[in-house]
Amino acid sequence: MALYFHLLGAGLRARLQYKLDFIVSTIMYGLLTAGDFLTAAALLYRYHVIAGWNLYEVAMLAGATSAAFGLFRTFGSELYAFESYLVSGEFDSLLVRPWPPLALLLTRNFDLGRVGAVAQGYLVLLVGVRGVLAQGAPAWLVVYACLLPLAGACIVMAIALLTATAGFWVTRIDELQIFALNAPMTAANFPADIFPLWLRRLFTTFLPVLTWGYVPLTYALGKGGAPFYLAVPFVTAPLALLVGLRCWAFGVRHYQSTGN
Amino acid sequence: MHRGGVDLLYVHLGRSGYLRNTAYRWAHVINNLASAIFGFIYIALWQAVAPVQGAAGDPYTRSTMTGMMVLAQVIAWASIFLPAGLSIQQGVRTGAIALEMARPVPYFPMVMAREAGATAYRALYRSLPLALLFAVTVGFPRPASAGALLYSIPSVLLAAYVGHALVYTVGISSLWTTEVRYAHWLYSSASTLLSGGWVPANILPGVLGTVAPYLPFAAQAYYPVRIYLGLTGPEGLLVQAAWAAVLTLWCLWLTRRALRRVVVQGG
Repeated sequence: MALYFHLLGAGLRARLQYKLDFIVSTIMYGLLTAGDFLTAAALLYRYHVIAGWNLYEVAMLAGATSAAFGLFRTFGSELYAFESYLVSGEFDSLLVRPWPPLALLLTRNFDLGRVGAVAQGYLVLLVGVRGVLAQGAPAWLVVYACLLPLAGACIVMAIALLTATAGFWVTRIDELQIFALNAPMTAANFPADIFPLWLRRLFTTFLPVLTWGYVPLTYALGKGGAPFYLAVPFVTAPLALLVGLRCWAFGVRHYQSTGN
Repeated sequence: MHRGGVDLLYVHLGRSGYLRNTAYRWAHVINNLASAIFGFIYIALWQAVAPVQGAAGDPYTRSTMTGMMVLAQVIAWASIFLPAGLSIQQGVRTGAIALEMARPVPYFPMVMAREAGATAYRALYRSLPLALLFAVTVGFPRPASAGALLYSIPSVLLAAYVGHALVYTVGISSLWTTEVRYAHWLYSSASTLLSGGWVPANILPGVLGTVAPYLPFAAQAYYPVRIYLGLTGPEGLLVQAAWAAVLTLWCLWLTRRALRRVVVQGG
């Protein structure tokens, strides 16, 4: 861990050498990642509720998801771009160094500009929290809601690790990422009551993107469920990460290099 | 180069654009699953909010919206989901664009010919499998009439052309910026929200709903879908054709400006 934070510090200092790029990318990512929520907001403007969830409640789902994905893209940007490492054979160069390849990979680049996406996510989340508090939701929701993106980021990281692991055998994983990460992220913006049962099962088990937003907020906002729903994101996150890390280690052991 | 030679070159470029994509067929099959999931998400969303029977003057009923989402997801592979900057920025980075622009054929038609082949590939390996998948799951919508089907053919072609011209603008901007990341993001966000593919452009909130149907993004999905479903007559083609003409002039002008900007990088 000490090595990770040492490399993290070095990476941050390197990125901050380009201050203007940091400022521009932060603003751009902040504005542009609001697209999914704007689509939902446009619908809610006309129809007022989606399966019983109003604008503020959907804002909580979308905000938590956007912040979670933004956190992942900030710290796991190279994992997201892992296909290029496999195709070019660059991953081999990480394997010959005397440090864990995952730590080396993750610390190679911190996409600091994504801080804008994280800020936008938290802003939308807090606007949602403010709205539901005015409608009588409990005050503890403020602190609780702020923790959801952290659990979400761990779950997204775990899915990304599994996708990257598949790359050790299939090499090309960009399209798989769209299936395993991007499409589920869109789903996590909306109340899952609207999805068919098979899609809800997919997004709560193999690709558990509903566990940091929809599941806990269903109970927290008084829409059903049981008290243990509140613990779901914080149980799922470490478990998913553990599975992701184990699979990654297995994949690394069986990696045979693309060679160049 | 004589006229017939140029025409043959365009055909050859289109063919190579098609063949180049066939190398990634299996990756695209996986991507089709993702695209289908996006489609199912938006279908589910609209089925949750749209009324079974629309009020007077409101065409957006549950079945219409399901059809719209299916059509948008299928058409988008020809008109919206295009490679970032049509990969022009890669040529700028490597310097290959200097050679391409030095060829005795105009650059803009050359890129469009190459992309026509790629679009034919996407129609065959992305749009068609998706259409079949939707047909057996939620059902593929029927055209409102024979005329609607007839008009929707040029409408889809115009949608693809306008989409490519917009993305060409993103790509050619790399001659000034080298990088198209932000321009591509801007384009993606704008086309997602304003193309009418996922939320009909005319029901967007406030003034946006009034303006959006007349923006070029609406030509990418809003009109072909509406024409096919009989919600707009052939007059929708006029908006698309107008934008196709304006964007052609714009792209040609931009390319002429770009020619003066070409600086070979590296050695």
